[in-house]
Formats: sequence, C-alpha cells, structure tokens
Amino acid sequence: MIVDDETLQIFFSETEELLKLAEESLLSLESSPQSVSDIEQLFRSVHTLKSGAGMVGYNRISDYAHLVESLLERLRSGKLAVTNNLITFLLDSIDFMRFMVDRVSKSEDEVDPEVLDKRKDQVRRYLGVDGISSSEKEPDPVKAATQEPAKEFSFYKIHLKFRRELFYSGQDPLLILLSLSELGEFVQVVPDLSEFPDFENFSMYDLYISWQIIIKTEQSYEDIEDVFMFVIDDNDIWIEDITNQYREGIDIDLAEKKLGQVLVEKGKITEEVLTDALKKQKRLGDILVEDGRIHTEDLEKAVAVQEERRTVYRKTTIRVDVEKIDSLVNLGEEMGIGLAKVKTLFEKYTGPGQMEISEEVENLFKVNQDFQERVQRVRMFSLEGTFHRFQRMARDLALQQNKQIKVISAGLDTELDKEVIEYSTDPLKHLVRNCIDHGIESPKEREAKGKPPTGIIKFEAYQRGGKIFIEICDDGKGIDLKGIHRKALERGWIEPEQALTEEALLDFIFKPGLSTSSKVSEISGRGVGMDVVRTQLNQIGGTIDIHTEKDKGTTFILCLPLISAFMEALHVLVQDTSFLVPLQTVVGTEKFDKRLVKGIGAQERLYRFRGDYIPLADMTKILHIGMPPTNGNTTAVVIVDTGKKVFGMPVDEVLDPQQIIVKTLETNYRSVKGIAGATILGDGSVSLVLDLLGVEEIFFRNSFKGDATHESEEKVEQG
Amino acid sequence: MEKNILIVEDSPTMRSSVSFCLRNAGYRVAEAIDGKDALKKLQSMNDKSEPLSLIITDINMPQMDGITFISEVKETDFKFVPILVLTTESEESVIKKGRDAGASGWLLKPFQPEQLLWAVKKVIWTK
Repeated sequence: MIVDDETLQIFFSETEELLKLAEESLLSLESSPQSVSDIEQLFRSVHTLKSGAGMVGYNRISDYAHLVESLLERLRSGKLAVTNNLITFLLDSIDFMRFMVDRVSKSEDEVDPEVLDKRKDQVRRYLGVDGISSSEKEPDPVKAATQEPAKEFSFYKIHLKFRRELFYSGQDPLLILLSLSELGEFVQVVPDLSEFPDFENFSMYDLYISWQIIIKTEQSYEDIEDVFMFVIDDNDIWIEDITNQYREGIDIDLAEKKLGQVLVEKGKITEEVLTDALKKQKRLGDILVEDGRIHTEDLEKAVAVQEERRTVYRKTTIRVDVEKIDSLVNLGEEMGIGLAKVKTLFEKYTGPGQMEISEEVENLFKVNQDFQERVQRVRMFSLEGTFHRFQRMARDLALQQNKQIKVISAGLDTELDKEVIEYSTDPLKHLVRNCIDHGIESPKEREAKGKPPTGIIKFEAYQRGGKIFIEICDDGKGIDLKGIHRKALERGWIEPEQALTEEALLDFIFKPGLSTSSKVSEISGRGVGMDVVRTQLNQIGGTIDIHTEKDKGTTFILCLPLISAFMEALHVLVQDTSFLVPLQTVVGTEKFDKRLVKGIGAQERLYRFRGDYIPLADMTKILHIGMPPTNGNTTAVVIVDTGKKVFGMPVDEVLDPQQIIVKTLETNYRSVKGIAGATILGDGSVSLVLDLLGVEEIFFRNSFKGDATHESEEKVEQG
Repeated sequence: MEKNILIVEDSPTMRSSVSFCLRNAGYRVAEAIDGKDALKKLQSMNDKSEPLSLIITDINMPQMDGITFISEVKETDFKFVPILVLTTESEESVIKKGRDAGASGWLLKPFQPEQLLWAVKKVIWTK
C-alpha cells in the first residue's frame, strides 16, 4: 500500500510501542506461563504489528509477523506449551522484527531475502507442517477478483430474498443489484411483491420485495457470489449455475418453475439432498441467532477484558525533538519573568480598572506556572522502560550461563529527566551484568550453600534528598573482599601491613585493571570495567555506593542528580538570601528556641530536637555567603534527614513550599558543592536549591571531625 | 459529489493508511479513535447538510468497542448509514456479531488499497 510519510512516522512510533508490549508480556509469561492475559496481549501486539506493516507496505515484516502470529495462535489455543526455549525464541523473533523496523526506518531494505527465509524456516520448525497449512488458509475477500475470468458465457439464476430489516444493516438491495449488473447482462429480473402488507401495516424502513434474476455473464460463480459477500450469510440467497439448461435449450420458465427440481431431474442431486438443503435453508436463521447468542456472551467478556487492558497499556505517544521542548521551557520561563515585571509595574498603578488588571495578571501568572510545569514534565520519563530492558538483559544473560534468576522491580514510576536516564543506562547495564556474571551462583552452587536455586535480582528506584536513587541488588555470593585485597597487593596499590576498611577495599573495584572474576562472560568483563561506570556516573553528577556481604549478596546504590527533575521544596530565607530545601529531606520545622541551643567548641552548636541533640548547620557559613551568622534574625529551624545524618538549619523565615524544576549551574556557571542548582520562582526571582548531601558533606567535614563515616571516606581518598 | 466516510480505528497506522487510501480515491474522510470518539463526531455531524455515506470501524478498541459502537449508531439518525467492519481472520465470530449488530460488511486486515476500495464500493455503490 502506498502511504504518505506521516503514516510511516505513525507506524514507526506505534510499532515501537507494540514491540515493547510484546516483550513485556513475554517476560511476564516466563514467570507465569499460564497467564491468558499475557498471551492475549502478546498475540494482539504481534497481530496489530502485522496488520500495520502490511498496510504500509513492509511485506517482509508483515510476512514474518504473520508466521510468528501463527505460532502464537497455537500458543493461544493451547496446542503449544510455554517453555523457556519458546520464550527465548520469541524474544529473538521480536528482536528480529525490531531489527527490520529499524532498517526500514533508515530507508534501508527490511532484510536480505535469504536471511528472512532462514528466519521464517526457524518459525516453521516450531510450527510444524500442519501449523503452516492451517495458518496460511486465510480467507481472501478479493481472491475472486484476481482470478482469471471464465472465457465463456455462463447463466446464473439468483434468488434474492432479503431480511425484512435489511436497511438497518446499512445495506440497500438496489445497490447490490446495481453492482451485480456490472458483471454482466440481466436476462430476466422478476420482483416478488407478494409480501407487501396493507397500507396500515406498511413500514417504510422494512423491505418486502424479493427478486429472481437471471444474468448472462463471463464471470465465474465465485464472482457472482462475491457481490453478495456481505449479505449471503444472513439472507436467503441462492445462486445457481443454469448454463447447462440454456445450452440444452431448456425454457427459462420451465427451469424457473421448480428450482431444485430441475437439479433433481438432471441427476445433479437427489430428492433427499434437496429436502435436506431446504430444511437447512429454513433453519439457517435460527442457527445464526443461536450461534450469535453463544458468541455474544463470550465475546462481550473478551472485549471487556481487552478493553480494560488496552486502556491501561496503550498510551498514545508521539516523538518530539528534545530541543523543541527545551525551547518551550525557556519561553515559559521568559514569559514568567516578563509577567513578574508587569505585576510589579501594576502594583504601583492606581488608575481605573486596577482590580481587574491585577486579577488578570495574577491569573496569567498561575496559568504560566502551570504551563511551565507541564512542559517540564514532557521531558520526564518513568524508569519503567529502562527497567524492562534490564530485566530482559538479565534474563538472557542468566540463560546463557545456565543460571536461574527472578527479577523484581520496584519504583517503576519514579520519573527521571530524559538525559539522566540516557546517561545512566550504560553504567546500570554494566552493573546488571556484574550481578549475573559475578554475583548470582549456578543453581548447584546455590543449593550447596542452602539457598534456593533461583537467584533474585532486584531493581529499585526512589527519590530521596532531592536525588534519585537506583538500587541493583542480588542475593549472590557477594564481592570477594579477600580477592580484592590480594589483587591490590599484587598490583602494589597497598602495603601488606596496611589495615583497610571494607569500604576502602571496595573502592578498589573502581580502579582500572582490577578483575576478581575467574570467568569472563560473553558480554561482561570485556574492556569496560567498574572504573568506567564510576566515571560515567560522575560525569552526570551521580555517585555509586556498594554494600556487600559474603554469600548474602551485593547491592549497588546509584545516586543520580535530578538535573531538571521536579521536586517539592521548602522555601526559606537566610540573611535575605532565598533557598529551597528539597521537601523529601525535611523532617519538620520548629520555632527557633534559644534555650534549646547548646554550644560545643568555639563554633559548633547543637539543638535539642525530640529528645536528641542534632547539629545546627549554618547556611551562610557553609556556603560562604552573606553576613556572619547572628542569632538575632533566626526564627525557625528546618530539620532535615539526608538518610545518613539528621541536622537542623537555622533560618530567618519559612515561606510556602514550592514545586520547582532544578536547573544546574554547570550549564552557565560551574558546579558548586552544596547547591543542586537554581530555579526561577513563580514571581520571577531566582533561588538556589540546596543539595543536602553536599551540604552535609561540607558541614561534617569542616565541623564534626572524628565522625566515623567521615573517617573512612578520608581513607578511601588516600587509597 | 464527494462522499463522506468516517473511520473509527484505534491503531494510528491503520487509521492513517486507510484514510490516505480513501482520500486518494476521492472520498472525504473524518477520523475517530474509538467508538466513543466516533459517536461524538457523529453528533457534531448531525447539523451538517452533507450526508455521511459510510462508517468504517475496527472491532477491538479502547473506550468503546466496534460492536457496541455499531449498536449505538443504530440508535441514532445514522442508523441507515452503511458500516464496514475492519477485522482479522481470527475473529470470525466477531463478523457474525458485527452483522447481528447491524454492520453492512467487513474487511479482513491487513488489506491492499484495492481490497479496501472494493469493499467500500460494495456498500456504497459508486460508478
């Protein structure tokens, strides 16, 4: 089918979605092979893809998808069982389809015919011979039209008795007769008006006429039948080839008198056959109604289920250039700033209509804020897709190494800026590989250790302290700390007598040239090491932490910046400087009470909070801004919990919480420790967003030396 | 006179290509993404002087499926407008169901432009 560019774009976007859906259902099928809804979704995805590809003229994709669909049909009908092998094969088929779609999207050929044939043969092997023949048996509505027309004239006698309610099906007998007339020459048309009711009982929406037509045509029986394709099943329509009778000079009237009888006379059918056929004819309507009823319920149920699932899964998407979104963001901000100026100007205005004007401006202000938020949201993606990819990867890797794993994902709806997702995908991939290659043991090994043979890999994402955390956790053998120690010695990184903390040892993992695994898998362990992981994460302002315990497992914790992710923040004033404190970290705010302050040393102060003393961190001092701290203006303490430490921040004023988008300073200035970025507030003013983990680091490094956590960090840096 | 056709189909690819093909053949085309959307579109067409010649609808759609949609159409002033159902070989029972609801014809997906035009012609006879 020749289509326009727009349709093609739509096709690519829809196909991407469909392939993702198919993959998802396959992965989910693996853990619950009986899941009817997954099989249905899988089937429907491939099915829709097949149709779509056929429509836009990618016949090779369509052909291949058709074969896969036949395979899935067998799965659906229960003729084929869900096995690991089958799932692997189907995942591979999905990949192959994706490959072809990718190719055509670059205006390349879908695939070499030879490669395609090989691929098709693979599917056929799964299908078996009977599978193919039954699947190829596809009713084709225009097969007749493509057939060679019969060379000689034939005569057909057509008996047309339509349902009385025919018009309600949007059909018109006149149109049907007109299209029939295109096929040949009407020899005779006899309308039967006997059913016509009295005038009182006559309804203009009902059909009372039936016809008998004899047509002389070069077309075949199928061509004639074709005209009635849409009406032949639920109306009384008989087509009879009466050519022989004509040739033998039989009078039309005679032939007409007894339809079936002529056939009987000619020895074509017996009397019994005719009676049988007539019986069937009478019962046809009843059968249909009965059939219809049975199917109605089944169908309605199935449709309801499908509808529900579709509403949940089918999100219509379009592709938009990120630059376009960014320019919208900028425009929105500019508008906000402009509006803020207008607002200030009108504050001084006291002329007529002052009330209306300020109301309108206020309104515009809100609309603009809403607009800015929504535009930023466009850039945000949930981690769902990324996690799904990892799930797939983990599964493939495990299978290659004959390991058994189960993947658990949590926090799928955690949203991250598109760029952060892109930059962190590679490091994350590497960590997933690590879990499978070096973490999860073989089923035998696991059983020997008294663990269940199936290993568990857990992906989890959450937002805390204005950062996004992604954890990748396995229940494998843990990192071999002794091995690392030995390697570090071998490489001369440490002295034999040097005492090292666990953290310091783990830090060696990130040094180039350390590999503790004796085995190297097909994917992992080639070239790219953990050093690259850390470097890549650092590039986007992320960090990585490792927790490991022998035979219990390893957890990688990635801490990623929000860059332009949304967050709720508490707006505070310190020495006339406004700051935003990410709300997730805020435990609470308290009215500042001098009596609860306890000084230690020359500078440090503690504050009594819920029975404990927590350190007071002074923003002006930590960030080297503004005036030296004075207690005079402090009215409140904001208590924050970064997950590692709890501390208080004395502030002059606490304003309303704000929903903000953090913009990094790096783009226009440079990265500043303790500051996550800046944001433009609703009134057009700029405020700094605190990076509390950074603040905490500066604060505890400078103030509370001797802290245990801090000490180990120092050592790591020395190492 | 140009004939007006309403396409009801949730798959964007299908919708776009059907629409493209019909436009090329000289029909005027309106699109709806499911039954509900289509009913809304029909409502707004009510006042227009140009008649609707044909509705082409998919069966499986979110919001409102094709069968329900057809039944709903039969409750409106458009009840005599021919309806062509787009369906697939795996849904033979659906064809029956669609016909019971009042569909005029059906077409198996995927199809070639000629097949589509052929089916359209079958329900709205055009010389």
